[in-house]
Amino acid sequence: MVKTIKLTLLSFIILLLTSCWNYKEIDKIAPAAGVSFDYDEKKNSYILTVEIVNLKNTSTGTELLPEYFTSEGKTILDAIRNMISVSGRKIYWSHAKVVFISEKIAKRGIIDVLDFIERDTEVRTDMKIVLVKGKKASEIFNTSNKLEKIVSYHVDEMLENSIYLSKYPKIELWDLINQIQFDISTAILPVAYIVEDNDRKIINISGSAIFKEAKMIAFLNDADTKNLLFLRNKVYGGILPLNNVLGTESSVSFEIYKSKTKVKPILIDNKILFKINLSVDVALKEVSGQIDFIEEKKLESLKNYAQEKIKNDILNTFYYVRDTYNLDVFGFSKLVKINYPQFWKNNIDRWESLFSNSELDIDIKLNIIGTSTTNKIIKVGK
Amino acid sequence: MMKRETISTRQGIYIMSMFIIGSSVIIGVGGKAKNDVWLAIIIAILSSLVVSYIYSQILNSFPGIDFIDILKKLFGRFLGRIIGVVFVWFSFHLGSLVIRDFGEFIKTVGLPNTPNSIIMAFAAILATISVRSGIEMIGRACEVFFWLLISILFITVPFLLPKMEINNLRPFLYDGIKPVISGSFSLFSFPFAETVVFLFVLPYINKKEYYKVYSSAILISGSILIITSLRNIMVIGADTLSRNYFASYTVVSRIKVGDFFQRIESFVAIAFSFYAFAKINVCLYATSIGISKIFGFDDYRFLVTPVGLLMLNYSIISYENIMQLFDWAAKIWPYYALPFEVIIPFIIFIYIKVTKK
Amino acid sequence: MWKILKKPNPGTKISPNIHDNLKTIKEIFKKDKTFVARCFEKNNKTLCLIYINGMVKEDIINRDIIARILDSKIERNKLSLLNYLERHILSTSHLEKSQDLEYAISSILMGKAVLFIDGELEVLIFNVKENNLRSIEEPSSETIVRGPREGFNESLITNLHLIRNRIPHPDLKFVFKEIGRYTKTPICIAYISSIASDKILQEVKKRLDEINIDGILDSGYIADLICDHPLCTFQTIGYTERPDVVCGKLLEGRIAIVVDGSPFVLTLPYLFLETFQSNEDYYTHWALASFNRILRLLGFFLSTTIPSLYVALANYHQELLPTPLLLSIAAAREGVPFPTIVEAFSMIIIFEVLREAGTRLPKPVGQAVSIVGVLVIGEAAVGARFVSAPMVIITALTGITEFLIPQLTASVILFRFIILFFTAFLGLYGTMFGLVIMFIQLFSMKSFGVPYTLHSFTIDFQNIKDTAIRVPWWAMKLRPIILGAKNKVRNKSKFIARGKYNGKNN
Repeated sequence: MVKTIKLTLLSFIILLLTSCWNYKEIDKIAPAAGVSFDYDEKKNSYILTVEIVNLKNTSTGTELLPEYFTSEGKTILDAIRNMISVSGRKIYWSHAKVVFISEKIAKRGIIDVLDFIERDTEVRTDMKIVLVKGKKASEIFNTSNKLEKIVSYHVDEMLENSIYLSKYPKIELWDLINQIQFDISTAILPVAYIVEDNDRKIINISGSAIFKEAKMIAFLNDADTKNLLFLRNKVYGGILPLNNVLGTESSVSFEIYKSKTKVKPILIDNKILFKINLSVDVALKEVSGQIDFIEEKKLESLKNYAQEKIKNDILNTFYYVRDTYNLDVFGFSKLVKINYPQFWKNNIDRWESLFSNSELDIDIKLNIIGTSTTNKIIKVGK
Repeated sequence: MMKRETISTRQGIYIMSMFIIGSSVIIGVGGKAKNDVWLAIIIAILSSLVVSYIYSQILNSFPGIDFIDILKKLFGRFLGRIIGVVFVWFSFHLGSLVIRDFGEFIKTVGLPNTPNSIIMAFAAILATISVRSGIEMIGRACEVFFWLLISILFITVPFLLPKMEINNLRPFLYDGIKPVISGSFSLFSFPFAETVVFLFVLPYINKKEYYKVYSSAILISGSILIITSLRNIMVIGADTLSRNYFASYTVVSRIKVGDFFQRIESFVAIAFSFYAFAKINVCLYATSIGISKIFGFDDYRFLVTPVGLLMLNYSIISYENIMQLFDWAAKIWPYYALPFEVIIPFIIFIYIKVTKK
Repeated sequence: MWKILKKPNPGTKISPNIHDNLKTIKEIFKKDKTFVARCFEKNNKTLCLIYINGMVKEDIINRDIIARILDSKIERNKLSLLNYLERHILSTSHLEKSQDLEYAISSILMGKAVLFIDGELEVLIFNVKENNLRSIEEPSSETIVRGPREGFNESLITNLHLIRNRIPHPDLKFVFKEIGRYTKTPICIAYISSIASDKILQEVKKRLDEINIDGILDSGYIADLICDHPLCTFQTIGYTERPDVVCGKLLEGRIAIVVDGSPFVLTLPYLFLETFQSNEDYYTHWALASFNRILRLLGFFLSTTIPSLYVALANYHQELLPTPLLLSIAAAREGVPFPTIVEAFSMIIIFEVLREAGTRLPKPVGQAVSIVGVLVIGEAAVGARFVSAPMVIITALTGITEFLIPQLTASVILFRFIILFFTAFLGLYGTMFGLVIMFIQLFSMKSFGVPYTLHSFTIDFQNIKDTAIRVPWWAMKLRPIILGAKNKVRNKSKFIARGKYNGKNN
């Protein structure tokens, strides 16, 4: 009995004296919301700006306020630890939502940034990556927004809601790493622009940046990006606006409910033909002008017109990317590997010439599944 | 003489299944086979069914008698003990390896600043306590936890369905059959043929259905491993999978349902560590009972604490860091384990067949 | 077999001289004013009726003993006076004869009246004990909405009567025994011989025989003395105040121990699962019953782990919290001086203090305690930033869930602290280690040879029927396997109304 008591006391003392190693008080941590990466060529150092969520207790509740800290370091971890000399508290990364990468780093290569982020256990691999166009990525934190004061959360919402827009991709860290790791290393990232609006700066995300072997080579505008997303089977919603339908004054908007793209590469005499099967469920959401497209016959012609339009747009984007950059940002190379592993093994070195000669064949099917709540257009009375 | 403890056949199956799933559900297995891991697992299951037949035949030669006593009867008291020491060493080494895996896993994913030795000490002490409570208690606990943990393992599947991509499984046999064979070899030695440790445990089941226990446990746990590895590949792809030390953990961290139900991997990690805990228990039990039989003690319980502490010490000093541990486990372990798992049991099996005729 | 208290020496016979006897007895009851020795004469013989005032029904003594003897005319015949009185005169039903002085004295002490007759070697002992007992009331410790309202009281005989009333079958056996050197408490082992396992019965009898204690004041003494794991907080012997519960357990093949002077009847073997079962489960709809049982099981786990989970999440695994929750907890903790772990420990202890204070106090004062609890601990402490609001919520949840399983309070409190202690060092992994300790404890326990967690968690179609869930009665065909060694079939009725009234004429 005495022995047991002695042992218990001893273990208590051992545990108590050595303290709790990972214990950290929840109000003592500084939760980061987002971080921006910049690069200074002259000093050859990384510049990090972290957005931290600060809590302010008010009489009506708590208010979330952002606070920014900037630090510099030879490597990224160096920069992060240097942050303590500015912020005082150790930054807690698990709740960070967005990583902003400057154009400069993107052009130099993003591997350094990705490696650090992925290796750390505190950082989540579902963080979203955004490229900031302009001189410095940290300028994104100078923008202001009334509804959501914390910029990173604001951008996070913009990216989450991209499914209703499909004009820029939503790329999470693991997805980006998967893209870069593939035999043919390509990647896309959404691009944030900082624009002036009535004396204040706001963020506008639109289009995408395309990467070759982890280095950025070009920007794509939002129309091209949408077509690219169609080819990558990443369209979940958005609007298909059509102007001057069938040569009339009328404009029509479709809302995309569901879109499914099936790509099948076909080998014909060492030439690759990508057969695309695109099926889109849409609803007629807006009709301007005085032509009633809801009538069955006209609806059919409208459908044909829209299909042709979408098809041409996609083809244009594909040939534009293929001819200008000769870069498979559509993820087709993976499909070739899966469908023709032997061919892929033998021809991986001459992929670029293969891709530059490849063709696209689109079979599009537009299903108009509804006309929203009304079945007639608004007639101008006479 | 104390009343001999017994466990039921079903409990035996559950213990062995948890043993096999053990650390293999934490650490990705058969990484060399990349996206054909499932095929490698099937090959490993088939080959281990053959080897486990040898094990059960050894036990069947003198049903219901301890393994060490069988060895003594077959090879005489001296040689029998020498062979017994070999197997005791294997289970001791395996146990310390699993303790180390367990410690590294928790340290890496959950408690980066906590000294490894503390986590391992907790695991070893708890294993000591539970082994001292006897195999009956382990059997009853495994009967319960098996289902609990299986359900936790499979609850993750529907949540990961949207993230799965069937194309990750293709192309089939891209690098030929060779990596699959080599993957299945490492899968065979870890975890399937490690069940050689059960030579010490199975004499305690109340019916003498040794092969039934072996085959059903291997099939059950094998299919669970197939399902989890298919899930893992489909979710994150073979490339990312092979880069991660703890594959299942990474996969579960992808779960995201709405804003609330996400980041549950810490909970799942805890479920995983229960499996590893079961494996530590079996190794500790086998080692202590082996030692007690070699020296001819009636009871093994007083040996459990020193053996457990020795195991803990050995696991701390044997590897310097996680890189060394995983390198060793991947490259040397399969060949190191081969004599214990196949060669010596096979010799014993042949000896039995020859002498019994 | 039990030693009598002091004088006279064991085995002393009744002396034919009544004055010798009276002298011995008066020596024992010297200066005891409750001692009454009423002497009178009949047929020239001195008779003396001895009893203890207040313990006997005096009107019966007056009417049925003294008056009848004095009023009777005794004819001379072959019978001695004592036998004649017994056969022809006395009209009390319980009457014994004894030659043992020692026995006569202990009978007096038990509230019987003893008639000494000069010249006789025997005494007459009348059982005229006054039963100053509670009537049969609804037990306050186990209240139910639907089901029988009777509860046991402190009388062994009444309690056995309540049991026999429900199971009027010759196989229901009562075996009596006296325990306690001073109290000589009668206890009774009840079982159904055609169902209960003989092995367990032998074990129970053996353990009861080994008890050698001065007194038994409640069945709790017995439970402590014969249970398998006295050091463990999980009880391996059940207790109940309700006869219907006891009968239910007897029919499952369990054994009951009824102790005189205690309204709590012990049942054994007792499994972990029974803690989560209430008798009402068997009377209400099975779906509701199953739901309630699952709630109770959940309550057990929540009550042991909620504080640890909170500490683990708030101090170790902040990534597990959704961002808004993280921020609101952080905001609530802003300015609180104590670390969360200290907060958790002290709040739990404060809650237990309030609980204990509330239980023992009379009702009006109890309300004052709850006011102190609500206002001071809840409102003021949070307002003054002594504790954070989430911690108060956690404490409240812990407390409420604890009330779901009152029988497990001791274990819940103990393991809550153990788990919290480990959690303080290792976060969620510490929680796991603590739980493992608890499970090792649970799984290594046995109650009279039956594994304590038997059927508690197994997934087995036959045995799960009356565990954490309850299936309808027509589906419960067998008894739990390990208990009823004999006679496994419990229920032969079918789903009686199946298909009868679906509108078709056959």
